[in-house]
Parts: sequence; structure tokens; C-alpha cells
Amino acid sequence: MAGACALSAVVGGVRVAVPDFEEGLPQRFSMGRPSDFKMNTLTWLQDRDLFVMRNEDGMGAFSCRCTHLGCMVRRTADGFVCPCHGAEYGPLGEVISGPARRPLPWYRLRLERDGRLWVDVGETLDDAGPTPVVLPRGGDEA
Amino acid sequence: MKGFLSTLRTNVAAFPANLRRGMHPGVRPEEDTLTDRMRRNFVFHLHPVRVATRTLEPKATLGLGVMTLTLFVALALSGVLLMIYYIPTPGEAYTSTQDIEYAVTFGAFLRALHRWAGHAMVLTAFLHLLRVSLTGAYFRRELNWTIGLGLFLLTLGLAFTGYLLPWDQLAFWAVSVSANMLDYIPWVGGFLKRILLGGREVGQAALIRFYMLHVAFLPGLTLGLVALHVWRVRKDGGLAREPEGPENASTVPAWPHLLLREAILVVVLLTLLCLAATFVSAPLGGAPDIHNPSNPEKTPWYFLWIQEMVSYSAPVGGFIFPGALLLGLFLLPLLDREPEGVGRWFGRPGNRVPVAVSLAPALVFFVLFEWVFMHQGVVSWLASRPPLLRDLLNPATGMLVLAVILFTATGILTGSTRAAAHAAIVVLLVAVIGFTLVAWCRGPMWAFFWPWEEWTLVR
Repeated sequence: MAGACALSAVVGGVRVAVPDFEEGLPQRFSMGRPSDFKMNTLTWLQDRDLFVMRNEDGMGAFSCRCTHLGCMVRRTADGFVCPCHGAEYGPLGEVISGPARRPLPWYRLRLERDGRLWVDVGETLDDAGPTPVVLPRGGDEA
Repeated sequence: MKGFLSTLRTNVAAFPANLRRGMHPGVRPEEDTLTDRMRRNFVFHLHPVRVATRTLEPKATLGLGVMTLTLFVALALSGVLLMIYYIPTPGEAYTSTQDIEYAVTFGAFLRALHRWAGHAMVLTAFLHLLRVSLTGAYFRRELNWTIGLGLFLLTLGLAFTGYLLPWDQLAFWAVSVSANMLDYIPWVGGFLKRILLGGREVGQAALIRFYMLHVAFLPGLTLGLVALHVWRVRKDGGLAREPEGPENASTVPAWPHLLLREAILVVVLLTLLCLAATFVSAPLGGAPDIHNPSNPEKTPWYFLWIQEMVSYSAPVGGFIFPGALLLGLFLLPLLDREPEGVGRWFGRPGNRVPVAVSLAPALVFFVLFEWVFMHQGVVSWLASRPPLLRDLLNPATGMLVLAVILFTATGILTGSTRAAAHAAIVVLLVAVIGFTLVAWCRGPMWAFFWPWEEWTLVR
């Protein structure tokens, strides 16, 4: 009986500690217009923890957080390196060496009708690399 | 009226004598000697009236338990004073720490005292654990050994939660990286990280949780377990020794022999602590840049060995190796139940050579493993293999396997479970100290630099 009381108090206490809401960056946000990013460049959106790549294939955004333990990777001549434990990634965020197991995740980009690019960091893509940016169909294209 | 006043006058006149008598119920203070008073005192709940002569030998305990307890008290007192000025919000944590460091009278001294005592307590608690292991003092004290392990984990938890509170660049990133290691604990890791941080990343929710753990939950739990720990030491018969050993017959009064020695140790330790706090100030880095870690970014020194192992394989370094270490320590008094040589360093005299010999393969294989894994070619080759191969082939797994091999070999050769356990402890100790030193040498991009080399980004 006493054991059951103690157990329920512990379980209740742990449940209180489980956060019911989270503060932080929004999952979906606008990162500007396509013209803000020049052809064949890689832009670091520092306050969003994102890299934005634009080349002939189109545009894409991927995380700058190392998939090993969450440090911010640094750009090098032939890819990215994490300063914390030395994980190395290729130019598209693929794992080259070191302790990381997963590549840097690429996120879904959408061009909305207002002409701005929106990124959703809750939706990762299966394939790395920039993709063509298409306007949503129908309506009055700007 | 007149009677009342005269009674009151008499009582006031007798006040000092009555106060003294009232504070010493059942005795007459004027006939009481210092020794008599001490005997009834609180300390005789901690120690028996007479103790074994061997308790007085410095090398029997190295005074590590007394030192750890002294540091805990010093930390509690200095911590309470720091709480007056510290504000646990992301906006004010760093600035209030700056206030303590630069504006509050004795603030810098208190902060330094708290920090150095915290580091020292991790060290003395670890050495105490090592002393109890290597003298076989866990013999038939399974409960108190487990409580002691719990206290060691609480010490690490207290040190770690306190590390975040200054909220400078070092604190923020060291805790971010350490907390992300929880992700690699199977099944419960993500949940543990969520209730520790209160979210996905270190922020307001994490700071108030760490603060609560550091000033209330963990110290309270520690205080309770310390009371149990000290009580069990006395109930289990004081300093561990052989059940039928010859030294059991020789005893001395605890006062003054043992208590005076302990008092001197406490005073010397506190003096050294105050000197350290006066002349070496606690570090305080810049305000945290939450989008930009330093390069390299390191955990607190007592977790460096884990960070080094995690750089080879996160599941092995962050979970399997520390988990195996903890499980092995927990099982120690259950696997080794040898009464011979209890309380002696390395057990019975015949055990010293095999335990010393196990140091050689431990050192050789550690250097060999590290040397192989310093080669970029090996690391790159492994990176293109399945993750399971990386978990199997790395220095941490290697040292763990070596510990199991030497445990078995020493046990078979000597026929002693204590010698076997001590051989495994020696290997794991070499691994923990070795990984700590290697991680300490790591520079930018986690590349290895000798201490006399300059850190360069391109080599």
C-alpha cells in the first residue's frame, strides 16, 4: 500500500516534469525571395541554423546542425566539418568520415504566391541537393 | 507584586548558570571534562567510542570520505550565498554571474570557492570509490556500496547541472553537447533528454530545470544518502577489515586519536580551498552565442573521456561503455566475496603482482588503439562501412574487451575473484584516464595536438 502510494507520487512527479509545451523557433518560416540568393552560392542563415544552396538544379535548404551531437558544422573547401567531434560531410551534407551516421537533413522548400520562399524544418527530404523551385499552380502568377 | 519582582531578579541573576545547565541535560557542566562532553556529542553518532588502531593509518583510507563530506558542506554554504544574487533566466543568468564576479563583496571569492570545491569533490569522490574498490572494502557491504555509487552519480549530476548556470559560451555549449549524448541511450534517451531540457534544445526551460536540480533536488537527495552512507559505515563496523583478522583486537579511543586527525584534515583542506579561491579565480567566458559553438567545444573535464569515446562511436561511448562500467561496479561486491585481505590494498599479498602485471597490456593496448585511430585512413575506411562495424572497431570497445579478457585470465591464473576484479578495474582506469588525456589534447575539428604544439586549423 505504502509502496503503491510512493510509486504513484513518483510517476506523477515525473509526469509534471514532462514538458507540455515548447518554446523555440517556429517549424515553418519564410527565408526571403529567390532573388536574395545568387546563382552558385551557399548562404548561411545563422539565426535559423540553415544553409541555403542555389545552383543550376534549383534551390535547397539543409540543416547546419551536426547529426552526431548537434554542434554547428563549419564550411571547408570540400564540404563541412563539425568542430565538436570532427564529423566530416561532403558538399551536399553526405557523411564522409567521423562519428556522424546520418547526413545533414534537407528540408522542403516552397515558393508561395507572395513570391517568398518558405521552409518547413519539420519535413525532411529523402534526396540531398537543390531542386527546381516551382510556383504553385493556378491563380494569378506574379 | 514584590514576590514576582524578586523571583524575576533571582532568575536573571542565575540566567548564565541555568542556561549552561539547561543545554547539558542530565549532567553538571562544572564537573564535566572536555572528553566527557565530546563522548556525548553528535560526533559519537558517527564514530564508536573506540576504533580499530588501523583506522588511524593515513594509507588505510587516505581521508577521502572525510574530504568529500567537507567539500559537500563547503559547497552547500557557499552555494546558499551565491543564490542570493544569481537569477536563473537566459536574460539575466550571465549578467547576474558577472555581478557576483565583479560587483558583490567576496563574490569572486565565493564563486571561485564553489567552483574549485565542486571540481575537488568530483575528484575526491572518484578517488574514494577507487580506494574502496582496490582495498576490497565493499566486502559484505552491498547496500552501502550501492548507496556510495549513487552518491558518486549525484556528485557528477551536481557538478554537471552547476556547469550550465553561469550561462557563458563554455557552459551553454558543453551542456548542449552533453545533453545530446542522451539521444543515443536506447528506448529512454529521447524521453530523458526531454524531461532534462524541457524541450529539444538548451533554453529557458533547461536553465530553470538545471537550477532546480542543482540547488534543491540533487543536494536534498545527496544529504539523505550521505546520512544513510555514514550511518551504514558505523553499523557495518567502521573501517573494513578481515572478519577474523588479528588487528580487530587493538583499539584506541576515537577521541582524541581519530577525531583530532579528522579535524586537522578538515582544517587543512578548508585552508587550501580558501587559498585556491583567493589566488585562482573561476573562469567566466563571453556571453553565449547560441548559433556558434567554439572550436573545439569540450564537455566538463570529468566527462571528457565520454566525449572522446563518443567521437569514435556515440552508442558505445555514450551508453555501452559507461553502462558496462556502472554495471560492473554494482556487481563487484556480489561477484567478489573473498574474506582474505579485506581492507588491504589489492587484497592478499600474492595478488599484487598479477594486478600490477595487468597494467602493462592495458597501457600497451590503449596506446596501440589510439595510434591506429589517429590515422585518417582508418577513420575514413570505417566511415564508409556499416555503423555496426564502427561500434565494434574502436578504442572504447577494445578496452572493454581487454578488461573482460584480463578479468578472466587473472581470475583463472590466481584463483582469486578479487585479483580478477582489480585487473579489470586497472584496465578500465587506464581507459578512463587515457581517454580524458587524449580528449584534453584535442584541438580544432577534434584533431589531436600535443600540449606543446600550437593549434592550427589546416595541417
